[in-house]
Amino acid sequence: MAAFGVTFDGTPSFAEAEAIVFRVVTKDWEVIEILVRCGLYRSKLNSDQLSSHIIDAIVNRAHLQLKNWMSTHQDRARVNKGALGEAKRKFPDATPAENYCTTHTINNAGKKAMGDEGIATFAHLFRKSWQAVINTPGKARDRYAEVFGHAPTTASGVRFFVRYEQVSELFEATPERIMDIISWCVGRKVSEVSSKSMMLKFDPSTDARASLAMAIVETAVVAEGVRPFAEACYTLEGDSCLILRAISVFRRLEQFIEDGYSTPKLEEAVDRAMPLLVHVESSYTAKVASANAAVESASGNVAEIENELKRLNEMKQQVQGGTSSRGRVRQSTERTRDNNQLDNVLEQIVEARVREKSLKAAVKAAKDTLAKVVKAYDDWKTQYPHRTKIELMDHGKNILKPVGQYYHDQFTSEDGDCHPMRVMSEAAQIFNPIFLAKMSADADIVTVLHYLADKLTAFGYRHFNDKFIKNLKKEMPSLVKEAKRDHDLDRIPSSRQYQTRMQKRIKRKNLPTDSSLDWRNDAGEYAQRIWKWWKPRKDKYPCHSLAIRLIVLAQLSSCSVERVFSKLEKIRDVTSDNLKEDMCEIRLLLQVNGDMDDMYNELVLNRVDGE
Amino acid sequence: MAKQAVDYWSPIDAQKLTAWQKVYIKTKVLLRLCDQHKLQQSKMKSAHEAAAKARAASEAHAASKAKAQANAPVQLDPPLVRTADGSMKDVNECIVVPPAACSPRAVKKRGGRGKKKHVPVTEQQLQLVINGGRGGNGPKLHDHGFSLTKDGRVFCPLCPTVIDNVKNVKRHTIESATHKAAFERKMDAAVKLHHQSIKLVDKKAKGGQMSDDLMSYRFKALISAAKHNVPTDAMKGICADFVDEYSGHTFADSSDAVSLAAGPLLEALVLRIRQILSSDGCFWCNL
Repeated sequence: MAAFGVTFDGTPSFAEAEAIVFRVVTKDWEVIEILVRCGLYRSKLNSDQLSSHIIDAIVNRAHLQLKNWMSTHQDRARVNKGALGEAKRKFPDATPAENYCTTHTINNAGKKAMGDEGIATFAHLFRKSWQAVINTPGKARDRYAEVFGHAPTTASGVRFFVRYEQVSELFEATPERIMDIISWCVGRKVSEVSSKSMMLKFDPSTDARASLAMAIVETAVVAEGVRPFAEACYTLEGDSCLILRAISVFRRLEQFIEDGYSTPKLEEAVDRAMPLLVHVESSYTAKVASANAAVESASGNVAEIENELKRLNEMKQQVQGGTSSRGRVRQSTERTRDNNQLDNVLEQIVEARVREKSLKAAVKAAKDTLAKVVKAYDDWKTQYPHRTKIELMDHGKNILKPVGQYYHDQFTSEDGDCHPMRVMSEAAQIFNPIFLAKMSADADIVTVLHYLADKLTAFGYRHFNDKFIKNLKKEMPSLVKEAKRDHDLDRIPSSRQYQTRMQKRIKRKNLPTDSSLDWRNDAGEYAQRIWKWWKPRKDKYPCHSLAIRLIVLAQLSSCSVERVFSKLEKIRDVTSDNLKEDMCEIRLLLQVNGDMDDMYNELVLNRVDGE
Repeated sequence: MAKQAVDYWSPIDAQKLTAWQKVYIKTKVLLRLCDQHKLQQSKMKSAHEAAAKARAASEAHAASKAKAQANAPVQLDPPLVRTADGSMKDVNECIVVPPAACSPRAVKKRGGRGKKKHVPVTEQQLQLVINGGRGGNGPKLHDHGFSLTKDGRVFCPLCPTVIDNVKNVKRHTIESATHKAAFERKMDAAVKLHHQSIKLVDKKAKGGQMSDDLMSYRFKALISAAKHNVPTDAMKGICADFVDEYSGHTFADSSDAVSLAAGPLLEALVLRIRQILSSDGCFWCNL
């Protein structure tokens, strides 16, 4: 029975759907993926139901044996882990290696930079406001297309890198683009309702310009710092034999993290943001200074009036004349009193006391104002703790640290869910003829290749036991010789998928149509050429040929199932609620697999004829 | 024959036909050509030729049957599986497959209904709007697929949207961007299917296999429609045309025709998947 890998996943977004894709290698060395089942369910499946769904697809629908179930690929959802555990517990023959989707994990790493749990809160807020501006067709989108020559990217759904693309597009040309957008909103070139959120949070004519400054810095960091992760994610989403070349993708990411997250345009963005921050801070300091001055001035007035009162009281004493005391009786000496003058003084005292009261109230009000202004300033400083250039640069670097940490925890740490995938990719280097050709002496074979061969156990296949690896090692010296003799992958014609990819890339980057890009930079094509290099040598190195056919069953992502859901969504758009299970499955099978005539003729009919 | 197919509808002013009408015409053409071909063959062939042909056909049938037997999946019954206690059991005894969501639909309903009292829309009112309003001078909305729900609302299958007031139907076709986009897609799909049917006529004519049975035609139509993501209503129409024409059945609901064809087609597709996966052409690892 055919050895196969299974990729499964579900979506709750528009219907409770579960899809299963099988991955097999043909005897003609073609890797094929077939959608075997996509079920619509009334409610979300639990792990027990999901395991039944998978087993049913394998045994009842495909009539395959559980012992040939080599590997599974799924995201790290708890229900998926539970379903696999359940299947293994119920059926001892089912011993697939559990591989977690690396692209989902890298996607989650990206969320650590920008998103609900990310540090770049201002960039996140800005993107959400921008999404609100362009969410519906209207003046904003038309204006954008008119100025920048293409429609703006809209981002919805759960995938982080869709949102990243939006941020990247905002920053791609220049930070000016952000200012342009703001100026449209200010100039009411977009609808008031759409730009309400943007104007409330990022209006450059108010103190919100500080938020705008932070958004400029954080957008720059996210656009540049998360780019390698996005590229890695897109590269690993291919369906070719990427396991043979995935280590280069992982190493590039690790190098980027080790180098301290290179973001060359960060300084430029900080320079752009600093005047905005300085403007707001100087306005706060000016407010504090003016409030201080008001308090001082009011206090001075109070002091003056107090002196005046003191003087008037003394005058009153003088006008009232002396007193004489006899025993316990104290009497004023009426002879010296001038009543008219006394009345004048008393009137002045009353006036002064009224003025004193009002001035004291003014002092209190000024002090309250000062306290409010100081509190607002303190709050602002708490909200924007990074106000100097150095602090902003540090903040920019700090945004990316959790991303690197998450990657480290999942991929390079031994406890990480995706650590086995990284080890598997590393072990798969023993099939790369260019790598093999670099082995200079027998010592290299022992120290490097044997070491990597031992790592093949990370695949979790029962076939990769000690005896098999021993035989594999025996083949290595002659294989190295063969690789040294012929390791020219340039001669292998490029695949049709690669050519299409290159055409699209050339068009996207506006390169000359006759320009050719180096296939070595394309992990998918590189892996495909390694695979093709092995095809004529399958009989010469039986252990290696068996091993390579088993390892390409392992896939780095569950993208094949995600593509099924994209098709399902299109079907849903067309059929609306009139979606019956059988027709839905027919549509999906035909759209994803085609009518399978060629495959059937090649694998079933021709083989029988040939035999 | 391709020329014949074009001639079939060329007297009619093609400009006035909607894409869907062309598709329906094409499907009719297929049927008519098939009948004509059969008739011509039966007239022209002599008894001797017919016998020779029958002999050849029976040989071919026997050969294809033998081939099919050779190509049959290795194991037609689901294999037994080893359970945790070490015994071999039928897999269906060990698993409880979650109930699939067939009709009534499993797909989540979109949106909600207002609390305002609703005045049901009548069939006459809807038809009036679809036919271009009073006097029939307005735009015709036949291709948009508006239908009445049981509770007297107008349902737009393209968006999908439920419209409470019949007056909003026309506005919906003009102002809703989603509807416009979906309508354009539908038209594109119709045109594709239309071209597909022309190609099919050509192919059949060249190959001389016009005598395909009903099942094959029905599947071809269904496969073509499913591949191009044709809307449900159109698919129902295509299937109903074939089934009504050949089987003599008249279905009260054209969706029954789809059901009649969908089951065998799904079975055929699953069987093909099974045959491919269990075929000798796949890499077996018997270590």
